[in-house]
Amino acid sequence: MIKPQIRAEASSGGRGVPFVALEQKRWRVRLLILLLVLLLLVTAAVAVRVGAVSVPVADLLRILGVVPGSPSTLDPVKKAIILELRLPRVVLAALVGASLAMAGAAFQALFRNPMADPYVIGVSSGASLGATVAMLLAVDFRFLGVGSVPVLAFAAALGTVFLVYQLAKTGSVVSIFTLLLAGIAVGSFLSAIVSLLVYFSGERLHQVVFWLMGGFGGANWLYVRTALPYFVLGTGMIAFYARELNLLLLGEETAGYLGVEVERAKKLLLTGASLLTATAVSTSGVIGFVGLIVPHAVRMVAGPDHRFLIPASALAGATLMVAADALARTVLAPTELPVGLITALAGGPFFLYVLRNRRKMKFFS
Amino acid sequence: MPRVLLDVHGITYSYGSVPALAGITFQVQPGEMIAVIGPNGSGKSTLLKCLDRALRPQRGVVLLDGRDLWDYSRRDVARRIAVVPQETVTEFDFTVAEVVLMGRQPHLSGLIRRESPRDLAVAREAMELTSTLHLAERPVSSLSGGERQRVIIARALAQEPEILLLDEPTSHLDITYQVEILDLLVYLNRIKNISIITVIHDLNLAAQYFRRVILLSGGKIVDVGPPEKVITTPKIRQAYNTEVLLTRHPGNGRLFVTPLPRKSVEMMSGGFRPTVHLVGGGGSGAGLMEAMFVRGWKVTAGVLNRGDRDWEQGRLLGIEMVEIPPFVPIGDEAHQQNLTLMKKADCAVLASVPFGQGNLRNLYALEEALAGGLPVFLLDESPIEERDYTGGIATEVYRRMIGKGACLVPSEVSALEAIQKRFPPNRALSR
Repeated sequence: MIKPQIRAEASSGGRGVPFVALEQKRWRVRLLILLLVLLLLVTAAVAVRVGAVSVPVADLLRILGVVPGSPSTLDPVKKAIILELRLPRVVLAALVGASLAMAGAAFQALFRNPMADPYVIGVSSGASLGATVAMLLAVDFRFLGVGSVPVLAFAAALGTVFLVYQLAKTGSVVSIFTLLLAGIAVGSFLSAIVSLLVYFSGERLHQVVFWLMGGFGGANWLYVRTALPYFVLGTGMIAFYARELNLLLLGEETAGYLGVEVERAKKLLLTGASLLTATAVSTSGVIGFVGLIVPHAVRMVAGPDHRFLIPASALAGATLMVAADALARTVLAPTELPVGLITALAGGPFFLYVLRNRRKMKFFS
Repeated sequence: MPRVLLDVHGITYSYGSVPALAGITFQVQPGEMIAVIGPNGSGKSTLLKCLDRALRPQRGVVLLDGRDLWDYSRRDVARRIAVVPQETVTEFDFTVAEVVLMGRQPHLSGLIRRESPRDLAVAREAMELTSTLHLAERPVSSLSGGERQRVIIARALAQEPEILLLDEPTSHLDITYQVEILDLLVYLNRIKNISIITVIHDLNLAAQYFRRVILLSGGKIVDVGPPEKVITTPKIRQAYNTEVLLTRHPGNGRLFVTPLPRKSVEMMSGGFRPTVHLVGGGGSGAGLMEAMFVRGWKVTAGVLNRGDRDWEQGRLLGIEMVEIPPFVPIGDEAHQQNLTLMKKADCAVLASVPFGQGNLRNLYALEEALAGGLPVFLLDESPIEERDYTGGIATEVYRRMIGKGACLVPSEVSALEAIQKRFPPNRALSR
């Protein structure tokens, strides 16, 4: 049997080896990830150093234990500022930035919608309601050492996701489209209640509004320790299903034809992304933009493969958040700006730049 | 007995209260090529989805190697059945190589699920078979429709399937790509012995490329079998509610389907549709038969030997005929039936057929009908003497008929005009 003649085959540029270019691309992306790791470390180091109390680089390295040196020669106050205030704050900012970026990437792929962000199914509205209620009713309790605001915010965030999920479910099938609409409806409803509460919040108005704008003001190691398990769990779920995210981009039906247990994958990815978002929002309030633009910017440079997109987004998101927080507390020091303001102010123009110049950045894709 | 690969047994599926499939049963053997045809909404796509575990039939089962498809995991099914869906999403810029490699998904294992050299080799072969190797680095979104379709087929092949299901693989493509894709399917079927089941809209392509056709209508199978058995005028009319003209492809002798526009059928028939009885044989009447059929006239024919070209044409058009076995002279019974059909007709036409002892009774039947008042047209493309192999008897009868008022017409066109004149369209009004 003669192979059928295919139009245009003759005019092709020779018989290229199909996967050499793909391998090269993957190495370039691995290199990009390495660069992002370095960038994050440098940014974190700078962020730890800057502030009202400035620490020389040599001392900083000694405090962090990077360079051996006698701790006794160092100022114990400076040491405490670095280790107990700035370092946990930077680490928390990195975790939150990474969480939002990964959740954003996962939701964008799941919903096959470039406008999707971590808050698309109402997580932020739920968390806001929980936090606002905690602040206005002055609910004061500690759960595992954590204050009432993050605990109620976390619980309300997950409760909202669960509600939206149940609303979108028919039988054992969850329609992504219904999920999106139910998320928007429930989110708007809860936001309206939050607005109502804020309207009657009286002298607590400033506290509520500041929380809603997001920030890392109260960060300490306890926050980091509490958030870490959820971060690890959520990251694991998304990372493990990165391949399925690629296939889901082709459509749920096609993913199914290629052997993906679509409903299970969707459920796990939704859980993972919601967990990350809820953790981020409950520890630092609603910080916009990072979860929307970081995955897009990374995708334009590194391509759509989620096995690279997820880690690269996490690193870029972490770096961006650490830098934004450092700016937030130094630009108008001693006044601290809401970090969400910085991410939007810096992120918007940066994103537009990437959008306009993506053709020049073909190096990676 | 040949192995049954896929056993579709009485499957029924409804979308809510809207039934889409009602008791579909058929079997697929390894290496078969099957076309599923039928009008929009007949259940073709639903059937295909039931065959790949995308939809679970409410009643009945689909057995893959004797085991219910739903007892397999999604992954195990994907290792044996691959699907080329109708719509392909390509919004994100994956390259061709990346998309084809995704076909290896059901074969990857382990925690990391990294592609092995064998996975790459299989993907490469799939790209070679589909001639997409040179496109490897191109983003899928930049490909033309035909190229994209070949890439999706390559991805399906990378699954190393035993069965390939395709949902209208040619519907958005120009004719070159249509032929290209179907040639490719035939090639893959032969080379890899993959069973292919494809939904296809184009009846000509179905008839030309497939040895087995399933005709669906209203969620039920109208008929299954070779195209000659399934694609017939009455069955197409039943399924599609549309008139078609069936002929033989001049090159390869396969079926050729021309849909007749409803409007032109009505216009040409002009309201009144005369019934014309055609006497021919050996291909002398085939052209006239087709022309009259296209005009929307009711055509009957007789007496014809089975296997004869006119008989073949009549069968394709689904017209009523008096038929006898090949090389057998016209017997009493066939002669009487022929006379009965003539009595029912508004007129009769004799094609320029040669006469021998075997078919002489056709001429006598015409003479008798003429005597009974039936208008008879004699298509006189060549002189009767030249086609008389009865020693002058046929010529004598022929002359007699002219004398008794049979109308001599020199060509097919003038025959059609004469009949049209005799039975004007507005005749229906005066009735």
